[in-house]
Amino acid sequence: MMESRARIAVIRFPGVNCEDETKRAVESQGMDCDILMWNGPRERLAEYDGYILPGGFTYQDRVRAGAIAAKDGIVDLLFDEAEAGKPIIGICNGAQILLESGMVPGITPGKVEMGLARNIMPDRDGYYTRWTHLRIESDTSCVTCVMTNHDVTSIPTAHAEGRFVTIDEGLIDRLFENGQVVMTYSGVKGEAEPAFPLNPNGSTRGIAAVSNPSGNVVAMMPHPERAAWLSQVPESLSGRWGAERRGAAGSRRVLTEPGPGGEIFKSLGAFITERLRGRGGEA
Amino acid sequence: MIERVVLTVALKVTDNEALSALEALQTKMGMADSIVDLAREVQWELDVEADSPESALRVIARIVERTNVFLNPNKHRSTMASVPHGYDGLDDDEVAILVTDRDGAESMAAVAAASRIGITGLKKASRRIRWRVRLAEAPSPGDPGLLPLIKRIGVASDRGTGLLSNPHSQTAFVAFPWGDEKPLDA
Repeated sequence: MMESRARIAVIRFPGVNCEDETKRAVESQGMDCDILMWNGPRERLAEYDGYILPGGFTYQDRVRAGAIAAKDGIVDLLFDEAEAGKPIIGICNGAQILLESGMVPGITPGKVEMGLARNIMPDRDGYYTRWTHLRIESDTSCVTCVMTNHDVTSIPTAHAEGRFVTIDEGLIDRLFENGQVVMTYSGVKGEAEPAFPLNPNGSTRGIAAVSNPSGNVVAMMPHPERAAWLSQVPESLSGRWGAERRGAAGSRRVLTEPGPGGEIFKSLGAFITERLRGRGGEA
Repeated sequence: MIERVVLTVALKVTDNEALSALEALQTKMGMADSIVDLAREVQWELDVEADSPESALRVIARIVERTNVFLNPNKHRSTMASVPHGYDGLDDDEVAILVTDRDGAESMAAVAAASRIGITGLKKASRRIRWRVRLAEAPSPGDPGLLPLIKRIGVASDRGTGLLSNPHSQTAFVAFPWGDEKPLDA
């Protein structure tokens, strides 16, 4: 019997700008992918196996990044799909939508339990972009399930409001204990809780990605679609991926192999395959 | 000594951010019966080294005139005051919701821009947003439903409730036209 390919929907809210490269990155990992408008026919949404809210500036970041998109009707449908166990990844602005809607961390689903606050950086403010090293803290989520805890990967970040914060005392400890902190910013060898610029925004305990309790909904600030192929990795980057990139210099074939962001989308595919197997469907 | 000046800046032209927020509140959050209009002002709290409040106002006036860091006179209007209240200038059917980042509200760029034109007196610049919410029914001090309504507008507590502040990253308070102010934290 032929294996069915997982189908992913990338949701295009007004103001997103990473939907095309996200679609290409998904397709590079053997999945089918469509870009759906946020106000398109609602019945189409259920046809997909997983969803991605891509990066950008929904509603021009008016009021707060992600705040207005979080109130759109499509988010109610995504809640239902998440409840059914389907994976949802929010990348950067998508992560801001997931937090503002209360889908992540989702201890009490729908309750706003965290915020993504303005970056805090020494002697500067505003938007900041750099490649970051990320330590995997939970290898069961839909973005890390092909990786191993304490692996270090490297993915770029680019944002002005990316600092995970909460006023709920004890929540951060609970998230670590529950395995809901998916990735943290780290040193190149996985050193925990580094200072700026390795932690590029002052995020609490270096948190870079958080999931819901089931691990099928993940809000991540780094942009894996910008690291989907080895050719996208800068030669000057330290660590494993920088070394692989330097080793590939001049080889077109090697440069088109998956980069560190490819593992995120590979995890998405594996997560869906596992889920379908668990339900007795084709894998 | 350090004197504080508050510079309030609003758009002369259509404020698309306020329109988007109003549209979200009225149509996405079902509050069309409660909210008639919404306006937005940016308030800069500026700490200035100066001999007197008047001297501090003069320093800020020079920065405003010589840089575009706080406003563009072609599209913004502004007022300055030493100690404004949240309720200043409210109409009887309005409340103000003032939102400040818990941290990260300070603008180093503003201080640096002043310094670049030779004005070293500006020591600190922090930003907050003042939303002027025009309600369908004029608020009254004895209305038990008023504060819950303001929270439903101002504090994002769950998926369908609250827009103007996220309590985890921001603080908010409401100012009423009769001269009262109350915190709006979750």
